[in-house]
Amino acid sequence: MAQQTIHAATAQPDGKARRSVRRTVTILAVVALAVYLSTFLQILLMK
Amino acid sequence: MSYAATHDQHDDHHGAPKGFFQRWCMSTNHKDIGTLYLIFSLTMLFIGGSFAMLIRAELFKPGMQLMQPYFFNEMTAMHALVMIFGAIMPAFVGLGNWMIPLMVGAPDMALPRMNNLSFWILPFAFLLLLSTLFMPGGAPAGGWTMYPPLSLQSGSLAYAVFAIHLMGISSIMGAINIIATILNMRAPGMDLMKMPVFVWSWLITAFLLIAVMPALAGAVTMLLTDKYFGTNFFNPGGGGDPVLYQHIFWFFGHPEVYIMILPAFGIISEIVPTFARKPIFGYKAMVFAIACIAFLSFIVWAHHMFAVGLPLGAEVFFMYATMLISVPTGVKVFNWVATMWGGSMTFETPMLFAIAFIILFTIGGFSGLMMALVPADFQYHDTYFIVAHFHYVLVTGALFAIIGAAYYWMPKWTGNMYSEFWGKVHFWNSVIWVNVLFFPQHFLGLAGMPRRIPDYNVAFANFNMISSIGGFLFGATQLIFVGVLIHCAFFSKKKATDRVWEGAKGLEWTIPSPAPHHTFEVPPVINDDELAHGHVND
Repeated sequence: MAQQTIHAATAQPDGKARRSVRRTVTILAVVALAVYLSTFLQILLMK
Repeated sequence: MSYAATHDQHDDHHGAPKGFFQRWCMSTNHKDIGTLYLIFSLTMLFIGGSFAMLIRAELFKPGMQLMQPYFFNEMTAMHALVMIFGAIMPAFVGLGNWMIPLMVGAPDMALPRMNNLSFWILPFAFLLLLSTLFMPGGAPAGGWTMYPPLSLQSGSLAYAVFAIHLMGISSIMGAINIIATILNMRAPGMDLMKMPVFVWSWLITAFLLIAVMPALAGAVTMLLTDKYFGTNFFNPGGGGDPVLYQHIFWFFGHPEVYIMILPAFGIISEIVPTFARKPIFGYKAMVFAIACIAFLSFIVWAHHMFAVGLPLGAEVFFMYATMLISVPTGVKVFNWVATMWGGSMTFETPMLFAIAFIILFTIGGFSGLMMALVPADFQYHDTYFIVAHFHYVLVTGALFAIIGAAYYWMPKWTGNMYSEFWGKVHFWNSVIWVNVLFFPQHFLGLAGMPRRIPDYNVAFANFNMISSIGGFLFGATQLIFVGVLIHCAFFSKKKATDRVWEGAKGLEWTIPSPAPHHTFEVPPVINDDELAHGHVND
């Protein structure tokens, strides 16, 4: 059972749960990067 | 509750690494990393607290007493940065690290190595920030908001900005880890709407962190390029606008306030039902209220800027949006009171801190409502009334919740009971002196004393002296807390039971005390009776 380090609420198998974690992390990292870059869009407001 | 069946699944067959370096520097264990966060935040609390003591010593009486005005300004800026980013936020991350996997039945955080990195970035970030105090020209002294053009005059701006970048990276990684853990690693049967309110509060807080920390990073990067690379983001001479910085900063800054208080709401929602021996009143309303507050926090940022000269329409919008926040916050306060109503209450130290939180945070909330009113805010702006308001929210709010949480979960962490007598001594001294410290500041602000000044009119002398005495005694009282922690961890003879508190419910109370190094390696088989909110859908 030591292999079972990840389990999901839906009791998915490990591989599926790992992919789910990876997808969550990727989406959140992209959102964070997008917010960071979007702050520089204020350059459009400059006269 | 099926303790025996649950215990069989918590075989601690491989314990903590033996070597100090392996155990604490290389750890990927959520409990050890949680402990590191909590020790770090306690250290920062005392460093930031020592800055506060210097501020109150200088303000003890009118006239310049102990320090140069620039050093006073350094102290106000560094006190805020250390307390916000070094004490309060890491404390909540530490509590989340320790308790979220235990509460949802996960074996660890989803990304344990990133968890280690998230923590170990922090000591270096704060070494960098604090090292600016010893640099020629001194530390940043323009306040934690770092408004340009004032902040651009600081010679150590680059160090502070890099430190803030590091803190931001740490927070974002921590938030991603918490979301990935909660969404992917809950035990079977732990549906979202059965999670403890503390887990819900952290899930929503983590989304807030990801949405706003990068905005702060962007703002301070632009400060850096304005100072060193010839850009003009905030320089009117080059087509920029310093007010744009304020918009971006407060787009981060207001949700940041809720980042520091939503997990506190979660903690109070765990403590109150336990000691009232009743399920939380209105579980769903509590969860939706947290989500509602988080949403509203994105559309109220300009209430920090009423005095800057906004269009009337914007002032009216931000005024009403700000006042709206009192609705979901009121839902929470009424539900905590309703949870206590008719309960078999006992008043152990965590419950005392929780009750003090509800009363004193509400005072801070009411003064916040007062300053939401645009015409009134023109009077309050940049006075000690603001200082009183946010210290009621952050000290008697966030800090009291953290201290309450430490007392509540300490027996689970250490396996020992703390001294209830000294816990109560700590509580009563804290609650008395914190009010002596901050309540007179309301009067000072209403009388017109501006904030961030080292000297003041003699008319403000009496209340300042009272406030300083309260500050010294409140600071000294926290040494009792350290004593209680050390005694509980190393010397207490009274062993904690697994459930610790008679009224406690939830997965974290089904594991032994102290919590084994590894827990829930096999997903626990749980049913609704074992969960604090298991029957919420009935």
